[in-house]
Parts: sequence; C-alpha cells; structure tokens
Amino acid sequence: MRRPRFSLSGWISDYYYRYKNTIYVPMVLLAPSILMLAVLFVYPIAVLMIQAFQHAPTDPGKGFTLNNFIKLFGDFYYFNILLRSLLVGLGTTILTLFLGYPLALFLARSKIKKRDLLVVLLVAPLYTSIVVRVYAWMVILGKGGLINNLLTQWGVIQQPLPLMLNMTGVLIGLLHVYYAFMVLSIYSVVLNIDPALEEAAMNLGATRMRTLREVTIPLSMPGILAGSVLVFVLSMGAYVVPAFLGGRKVMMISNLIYTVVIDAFNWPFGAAIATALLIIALLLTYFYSKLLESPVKGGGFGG
Amino acid sequence: MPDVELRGVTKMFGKDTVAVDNVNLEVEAGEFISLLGPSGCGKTTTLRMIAGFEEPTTGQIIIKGKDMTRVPPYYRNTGMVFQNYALFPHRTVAENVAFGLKMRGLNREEIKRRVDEALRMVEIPNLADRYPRQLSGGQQQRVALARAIVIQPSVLLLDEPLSALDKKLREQMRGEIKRLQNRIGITTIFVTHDQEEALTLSDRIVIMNKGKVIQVGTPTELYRKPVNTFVADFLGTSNIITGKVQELAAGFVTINTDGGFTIKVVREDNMALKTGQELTVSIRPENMSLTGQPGPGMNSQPGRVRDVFFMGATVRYNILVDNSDQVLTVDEQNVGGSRLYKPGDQVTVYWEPGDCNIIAQ
Amino acid sequence: MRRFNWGVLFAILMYVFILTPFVVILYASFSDSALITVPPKGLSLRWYRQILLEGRYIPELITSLEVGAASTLISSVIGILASIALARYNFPGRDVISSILLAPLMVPVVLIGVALLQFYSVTKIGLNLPSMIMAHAVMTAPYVVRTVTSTMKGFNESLEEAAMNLGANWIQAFTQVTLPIMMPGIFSGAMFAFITSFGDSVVSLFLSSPSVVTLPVKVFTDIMWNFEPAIAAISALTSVLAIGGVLAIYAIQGASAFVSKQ
Repeated sequence: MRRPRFSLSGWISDYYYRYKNTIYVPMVLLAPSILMLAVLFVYPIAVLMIQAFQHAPTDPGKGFTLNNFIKLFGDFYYFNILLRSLLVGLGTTILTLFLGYPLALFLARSKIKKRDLLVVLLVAPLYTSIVVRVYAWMVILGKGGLINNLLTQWGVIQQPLPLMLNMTGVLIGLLHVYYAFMVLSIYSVVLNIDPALEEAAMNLGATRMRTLREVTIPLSMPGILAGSVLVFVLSMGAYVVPAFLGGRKVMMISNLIYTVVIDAFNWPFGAAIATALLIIALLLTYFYSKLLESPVKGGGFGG
Repeated sequence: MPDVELRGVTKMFGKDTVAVDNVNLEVEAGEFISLLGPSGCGKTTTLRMIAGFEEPTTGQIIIKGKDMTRVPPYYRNTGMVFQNYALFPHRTVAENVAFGLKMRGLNREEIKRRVDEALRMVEIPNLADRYPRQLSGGQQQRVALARAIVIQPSVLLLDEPLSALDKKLREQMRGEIKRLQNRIGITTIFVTHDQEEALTLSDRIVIMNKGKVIQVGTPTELYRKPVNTFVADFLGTSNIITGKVQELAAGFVTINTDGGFTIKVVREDNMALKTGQELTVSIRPENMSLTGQPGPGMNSQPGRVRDVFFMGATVRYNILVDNSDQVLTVDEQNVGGSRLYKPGDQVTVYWEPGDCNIIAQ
Repeated sequence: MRRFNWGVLFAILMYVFILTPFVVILYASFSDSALITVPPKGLSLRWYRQILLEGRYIPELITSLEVGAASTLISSVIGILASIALARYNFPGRDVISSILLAPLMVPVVLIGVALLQFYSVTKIGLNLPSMIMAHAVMTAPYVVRTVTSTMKGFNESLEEAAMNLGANWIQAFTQVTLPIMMPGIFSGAMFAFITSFGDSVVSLFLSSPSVVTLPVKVFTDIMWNFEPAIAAISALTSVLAIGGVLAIYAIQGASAFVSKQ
C-alpha cells in the first residue's frame, strides 16, 4: 500500500510504531497525568506537610518546630477530636460491615431475576451529592423532623428525641453514606467464590452456619478488608455529615481543619492536623496492602 | 523473485528468550505454505513479524521485493485472518469488509462493488447487514476471509483460522479456503499446529520447533522422508527403530536393532554408511501389516498383540515384538472379512525394506 | 417446607433505609410553608417555581455543570492516555505510578481541598474557575484511570491489529476501533468522574470564591443559614435526575456500567 500524503495522525502513528517497544511510549502517555498529579496533588501536599513544622501565628518563632503536633496530641480538646474521628471511623466500619455483609451475601447468592436492579438501586444514591443526602437526614431526624413528628402524633413520645446534633446522628448519616461501599466490596468478592465450595462443605456435613463461618467468610476476607479500610478512611475524614448531623458537639477532624484554616487562619496548625490525617490514612492503606499480600488471606479462622 | 522472503530472521523476547531463531524462507508467488509446529515453536511470531506486529531482532523481511523489516503494519498491505477472527463488533459485516478499502481512500461505489464481490466469493452476500455477534463461527470465518482478501493484499496470512471451529465445520472450511486460494491465486502463509490441515492444504510445509525451521518440503516429501525423529513423530505416527549397521549390501543395509532383532532397509545410493554405525529408522504404521509372505525381500517379526484401537477405517495394533522391548504400531485396513485380533494374540508383523526411511543422525 | 426468608426481610429493611431519604426529600419539596416539616401541612409547587421560573440556584447549577464538564473532559483525556500505558505496557515502576495515579481516591478529600487552597494562594494562581476545574480534575482522574485501565485490559488487542493490518494507522485504529468498543467502560468512568465533581462539596467549599460557587456549596451554606424547602426542591430535582439517569443507563446497557464483576 502506498504511503498516503502527510497527515498528522499518520505522523504520530509512525512515531508510535517506531518507539512502540521502548519506554518512551508509556512515558509520553503518562506524562500529562503524572504532571497534573505531581503539580496539583503531590507537591501541594508535600508543601502542606512541611508547613506543619513551621511556627504558628500564635506561637511565633523561627525554624522548624514540633509545637503544632505537640499541641494536637497534648491539648485535650484537639486530641479528643482526633480520637473521636478514629472512633467514629471504627464505629461506622463496624456498622456498615455487620449490616452490609448479610445484604452482600443475599445479593450475591440469591437467585432472584432482578438482582442487577437491586445492585443498581444500591449504587444509585452514590450519584447524588452528599450534601443532599445529609440534608434529607436532617429533615428526618430533626426536632420537627419526620420521626419525631410521627412519634409525637402517635403519642409514643411527649418530648422530641435528640436524634441529631449528636453521635447518633453522625453514625446514622455515615452509615447511609458509606453503606454501599462496604456492600459492593464484599459483594464483588462473594460473587467470585465458587458456590461449589459451599456445597462441598455442606456435602461434608457442615451446617449452614458452619459453612458460613468456615468457608464463605474466610474466602470473602479480601472484600471485607477492602471495604473496611475504605469505609474507615472515608468516614474518619468525613466533613459534611459531622458538620450538619454532629453540630459543635461532635466535631471531627475535617471540620477542625476547616475551622483552623479558614476561620482562625492558623495554617501551620491546620497543616499539622492534615498531616496527621494523611499519615493515618496512608498507614491503613499500607497495612491493608500488606494483609492482602500475605499468602494466608485472613487465615486463622476456627483452627 | 519470491513474494515473501525471510532472511536470517531472529526474534528475541527479553534477553534470553529466543522465539524465532535464524529463519530463512522464500515463499513463491501463488504458493500456499504452512508453518507447522507445536505451540510455542515460533510460528505465530514469524507470521506476526511478516504482518508487522512484531519487529525482528535481527534479519530482514522482504515482501514483493521491498524491505519491510521496519515498516509499520499499515503500510505493508498484508491481509491477515486472526485466530479469533478479530471482527469489529461495532460494525456490520459489510462495514467490516469495507474497512480496509475505506482506509485506502476508495470512493463509495468502488467500495460497495468490491465488498459485494468479496461477500459473494465467500458465499455470504445475504449477511451484509448483520453484526458479528449474530453470526455462527463458520460465517465469522468467512467474513474475516472476505475482509482480508478484499484489499487485494500482497500476501494472505492465516493464523490458525480453523482452530475455533468444530471438527465437521473445520473440514468444510478447509476445502473452501483451498478452493478460494486456488481461484484468486493469492500467496498464502498459513499457521497451524494441526498436521492434517497442513498436509491437506499446503503446497509446501515448514516444520518449526523451538524457534528453528526443522524441515521444509512438500507434504509428500515430509511424510515420506522426515529428516529427524521430531518430524517423523510430529507428522503422523511413526515407528522409530534404532540400531547398528550389521552388514552393507548393494541397495540394502541390515541393521541389528537395539531391540535385539535384525531388519533390512533399502539404502539410497548417495548415503555413506559403515558397519557398526548407529542408525535410526522410521516406518509408518500403514506400511506395516499383519498379513504377508515371509521372504528375503520382506521384514517379518513375530510378536504379541498388546493394544487394539478400533479407529473406523483402520484398526491400530500395538505389538510387542517377541523377546524384545520394541513395540511396533501397525495400522490394518478395516475391510470386510479382515480378521480382528485381540490383546494377547500371537501375530507376525510384515513390512517392506523400501518403506523404511533412514534418518541421518 | 417453606421457611420464612429472613434474608428477604433484611434486604427490604436495608433498602427502605437506603431509599427513604430521597422519598422524604421529594415529599418535603412540595411543602407550602416556609418552614420545612414532614409531613408538610399543605402541598404547593412554589419552591419549584422559585427555581425553574425565578432562577434561584440556576447560576450555581451552571457553575457546577461547567466545572463538572470541563474537569471530566480533562480527566478523561489524560486518564485514557495513562490507561493505555498502564494496561498495555510493562515497565519498571508501573505499580508505583499506578498507585500514585489512584492515590487521590485513598486520601480524605479534605486534604486535597486544604492543600490546593494553600497552593493556589501561595502561587498567586488564586481561586477562579480554572483552578476549581483543575482541582476537580485531580479528584476525578483516578475514577477514569481505574475503569478505563480495567476495560482496556479486557480489550482484545487483535482488533486494533486487524485495523492496522487493513491499512489504518495507529491513531485511526485506536479512534475507529479501540475507542468505540471501549466506550461503555470509558462512559462509566467519565460518568462517575462527572458525578463526583458535580456532587462534591468539600473541595469546592475550600476553593470557592464569590465568583465560583458550585451548587453543593450553595446548598451547604443555605442549609446553614436558612432552612427553606427550596433546598429540598433543588435537592429533589438533582437527585431525581441522577437516580433517574442511573436507572435509564441500567435499562439501556445493564448493570455493567456501575458494578464491575472482576
């Protein structure tokens, strides 16, 4: 075939083909994304981390200092917020796991026709803004909200129940926001477990519960771990849910960062809190990847 | 001038893996040539180098007199049929076939005319508006063929095109490929691991193993005169008998086999042999028989039937030669009235010295 | 013997929990009073009138659409390029690069917001539409990279080779064969990128300025300062569109656009 007249696509293609098997092609293809993330993600976060070691306006001085971290971990008020974020993260993880595992199992193992539709219905809320979802929960949980209204009307209660602006509200909101993440993580793993393994266990005399404990749960460990780390990291760093459903009483780490940086304009201290959050998130992700690498995935169950 | 020529083509993957090792090959215009070998022998890599998807580490690829070694695939004008057909799922049959013509900038009428002609040639003009997923395996195969020949390529490259079809359809498509190739007279390189396909379709066969070309020749040459035990075994079944030269005579050589019996083998004039030399001999099972007349011009060996395989047109016997560990495989025609032996039966195996092929070691 | 199926009951309860907020908000949006109550005392369309006829929330909606569309375009283009490299090439450091590209997913979004706010102020780039768009591109690119890489790994490369064998140069083969076939995967990655950008409030809150206020930020501040049913109306509008869109895509191309089944 004759070479056509010059065309840009032909020119690029010829270069692509000439260097197809060299490192240059992937380098060129990766350049835009690496550049973007280096400039707008890695670099800003690195700068933030450096700033965490500088003196705050409230603590004048020169050179590097650990004062911001000492304040974060030493001052009970701030340390309390950090601890609370971790506990809320843990609580949300446990809630989503215990309420999510049965549903994931149900979706993966049921033989109903419209299973896909159920999965899509689970996913669909993720396509709406968190602000919208949290607003809806305020309408449901508030003093004059749906639940209190109905209970008062039915005469069950005289005084409205405190359902939000406290820990209950935060946990309900976070459960709703991150529930689908947990279910989907487990669902996609259970779906790939050969049902014959469970049948084999029952064939060997194991009861349903025993099969679940000895076969299904250990095999779905990768999904449980992935979902748990994801939900923990996301809920620990949640901003919108505690802002509206927690109020001042249940302030969490992201809200603290916003307050410190935007309202108090204390960048170094805000940077230190952000650094602590980042390190926790990275450590969790790191341990998670180590766990998945180990040859005995979630081993040690029942023997 | 050959249509396709490979000169010392070598392909390395990484530093130590030699996929194709110094292959030299000339494919004449209009020739149907098969690259035959077990999987991993380098035949597909060779084909992909001709198409331009892989670049040789060293050596040259010349198509129609032009050095194409470093030319990208889209300037090579080869027509390839892929193992899984690689039909574009988002385009109709007609659009699939028209793709190459569009890329060549032909006008609409010309494209339509040639697409229609190609679809008629592969006998599926009625499927033009279907999508690939609506077609059977055999129909997809025809579309892939039409798409490859419609661009009038310098060479047609077929990468195991029949392997995805079931046995009956495979035999039918085999015939159609052969007729089509005869009709348009296109130079064709066919990659397969199926010896039967290679034997029935090819003008010449290239036997490859571990990246090297082992033997090139017509199907008859390869079948009758395999150059080594690999070819003898890979192409059909062979009885391989090893032994030492005991006696040399005019036209004959007597061999004392390692199994402890002697056989007579016809010796070609130019073959230099001396007494005591180690030799390997191959004999096809169909050239052996359980019926015959013993005599000076005939090898005969008594033995006991070990296995019987009823194969339809033939019956295959494995026979353990008496007082020996040599097993001979014998194919008997299954004609009316011929006797069927059972395991344990005492028989005599007969074969002519002229049917023995001495493998030069 | 038919046992009572606890699994079905549990699933129904969980779906009620998941979907109730949307029903409630839809119901509340038809309230006729200025104070939101559920159930509403009377029904009216006044809040929808405010939005659709008087244009309340419309400027913020337009900003959100602009930011979403532009950042999705950027993250899709560079994400697809990166995915080709990650899916087809084996080079030293590939896993490291791949995890860097996916890192914004593993980091709490508040960090992206606070780090970029500082970056934009220190570099004097400032807070404007382009800086908001780029921030959203950083946040959403990983979704494209993840879905497109896995789609591309499942793509049968001999299709692209077949196109080149027929005379298409690489760009032609890629745009006329590879991209159209991978479209469902690219589409679901881009869709998730857009939705993430469109729904984001945290990064946008950090980077918002008087000239760039996205819809979630506006809703966020409105919830803080006035708790009118107009919020329910705009929330209901966007949610119905989003969930309706999800169901429409499901009806057309099945669940594969939303859930990967490794």
